[in-house]
Amino acid sequence: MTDANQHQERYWKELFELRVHVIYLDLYMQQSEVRDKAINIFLAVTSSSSICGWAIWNKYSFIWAVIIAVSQLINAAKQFLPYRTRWKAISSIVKDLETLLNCYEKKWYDVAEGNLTSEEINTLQFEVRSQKTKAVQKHLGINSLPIKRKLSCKAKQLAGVYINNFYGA
Amino acid sequence: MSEQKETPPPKPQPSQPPKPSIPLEEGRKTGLPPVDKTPSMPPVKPPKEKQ
Repeated sequence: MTDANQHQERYWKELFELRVHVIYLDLYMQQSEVRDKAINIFLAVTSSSSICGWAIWNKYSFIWAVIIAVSQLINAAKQFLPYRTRWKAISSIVKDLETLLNCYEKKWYDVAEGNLTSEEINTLQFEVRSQKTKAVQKHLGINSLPIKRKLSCKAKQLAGVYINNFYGA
Repeated sequence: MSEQKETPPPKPQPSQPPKPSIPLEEGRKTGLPPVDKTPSMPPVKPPKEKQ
């Protein structure tokens, strides 16, 4: 990185990071959706088959009793599970960040073609960063978002594919 | 006559809490993972000169 293009390089990195984060949050949302469906299926199956199972496999009545107890517990606690609040928040963050990404990726043309000064590029970079932080804080509030390494690695890989397809880097 | 030790004057309270010596990563602040490797930047023209 030379002094002449260090701001362009930083802007490039900022855009890539934003792309990775959009993909990461999208994957996070998909995972939460799968988890929610799995819980709902479990509850539906246990509530409908437990009585039948009790009658057929009287021998294993203790197991059925445990299954019923667990399903009742999950049903009661489901609305308070943290992934559900995160899921809604992440959905809103992804929408905001995608809009942000499209807007600032469009400006990459001016950055790459040398139409902007270093100062203007620097301002753009910090606009991206501050708007991203605002969007996350607005929707996530006091809720935390635990980092998932596997999703992070996959997001980086997918972002790399995107860059390769559109920028041939 | 016993000597009375003078209590040291209270230290002035700093008006602002001390800043952490190591700045937090932006990724950590937002709950998003840090991105360590970025693909190399495509060729670009030098930025416009400031007029």
